[in-house]
Amino acid sequence: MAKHKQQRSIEVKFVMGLALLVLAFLLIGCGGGAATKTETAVTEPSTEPAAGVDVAMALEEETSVGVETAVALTATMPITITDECLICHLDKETLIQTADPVEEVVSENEGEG
Amino acid sequence: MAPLEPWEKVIIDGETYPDTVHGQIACQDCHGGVQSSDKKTAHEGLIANPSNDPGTICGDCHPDVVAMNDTNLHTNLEGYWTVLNTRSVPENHDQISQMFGNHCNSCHASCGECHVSQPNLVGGGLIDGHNFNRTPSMTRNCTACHGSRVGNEYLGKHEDLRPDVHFRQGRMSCVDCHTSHEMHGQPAECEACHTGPEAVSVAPADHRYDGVQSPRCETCHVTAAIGGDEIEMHQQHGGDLSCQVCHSISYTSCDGCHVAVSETTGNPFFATDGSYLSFKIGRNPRQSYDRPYDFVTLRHVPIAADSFAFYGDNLLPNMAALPTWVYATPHNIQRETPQTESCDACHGNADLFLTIDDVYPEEIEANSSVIVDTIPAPVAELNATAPITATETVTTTDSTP
Repeated sequence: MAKHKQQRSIEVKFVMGLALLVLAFLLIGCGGGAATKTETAVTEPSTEPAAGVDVAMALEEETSVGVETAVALTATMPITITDECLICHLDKETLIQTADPVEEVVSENEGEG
Repeated sequence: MAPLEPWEKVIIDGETYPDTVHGQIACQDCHGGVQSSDKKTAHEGLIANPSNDPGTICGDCHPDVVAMNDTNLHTNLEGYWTVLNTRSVPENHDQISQMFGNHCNSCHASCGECHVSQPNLVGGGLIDGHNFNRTPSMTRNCTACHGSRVGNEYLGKHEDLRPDVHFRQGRMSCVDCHTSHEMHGQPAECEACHTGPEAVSVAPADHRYDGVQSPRCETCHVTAAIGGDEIEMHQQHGGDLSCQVCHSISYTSCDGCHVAVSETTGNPFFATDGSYLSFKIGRNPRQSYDRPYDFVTLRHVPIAADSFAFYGDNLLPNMAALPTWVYATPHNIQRETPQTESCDACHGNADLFLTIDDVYPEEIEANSSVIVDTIPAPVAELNATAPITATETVTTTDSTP
């Protein structure tokens, strides 16, 4: 009987140890994942802040990964991406299409000056 | 310099500008306007040249520079007013001011016209995709305005005249001599930095050739000024001739700037009667501690008594108050020039000096302070008539057996 109890105690300890090990792996796994998401949220906007629409589209795709990630990306998204001034002034074709007609002004000033 | 296309003037370099310090600032913080995809709406309240008000826009980050801006000649154009006020009288100020606004004021340059765009005088437009340049471009900023004389001389654009040696051999740009210290105005207390002998003899800085000489050739050519080298002419003339007298070649003078009226539009415009290359040595009209020279190079400036007659009669009644042949510092310096060939290249050579025959009769009175009455005699004559100096007397006495 005593021998049976001892056997049972060893089994319980083994199961608890295994459970603790699994829990530890889970905690490490979750912690690592959180760190990766944070890094993405912080570094992404600063590496390509000038890419304009392309960057904006890439960021929109990434926001579908999860709610927590989406919030982090929106908070650090550079203002330049949605700036109407830059959307036009970064694009040569838009500037050409929207340019006012050039009025040729002929100066009558003469000589050195 | 080819004019920029309209889109070139306003396009921003998306690859580089957003990463710069200025790129971190929202467009509207400086330029105003409205966030809209419609151009007309977006440009409502637009400030195209924010640095026209440097205190508000630039001063937050550059307070030390902006604090001097009121004394910055690029901003206040005070040089024009110095001569206009001297030649005119207070009663004519309104007409002169009107003329100034129509014809002279376009030479004003803001912070941005040196550091981010071309000057408006040459059409404006961003130079480098809105990137701010700490050092202005020599050709797209400096000589864009200072081109007809300085630029053409320095870069050697006059036929048969070599570029300035500082450009030809040194590849130096304007800012190598004309530093930001000179460009941004004058500190409130000059003596705080200039603690040498000049601190007790500061000339009134109401003229660019008054006050401390900056830039100064001797800053780099240290030995030349004090006769510390083996060159006999430096030892003989180190203090009584400006460097340009020997080391400059022909440079631009202009005649008769005046305001004319367009036959087609009726608008006033300015014209100069002519420009020409000349080289004239004259007396120094602005001798001072920093410019003790007896002789300097002179050029004719295109002012005339009737220059602004379109705006009123006799607006420059004091024409004779200032010379029309003015102290000049040509930007075409050469190590060897016709003047350096020999002593008598200048001594006895009346062609090099501004004599009364070179001056228009109506301008003789104005130029009395610079006209050379007596041409320095040929050296042989000087030696024949030179008094025996004290040194020579001692030497003679000592050598007597």
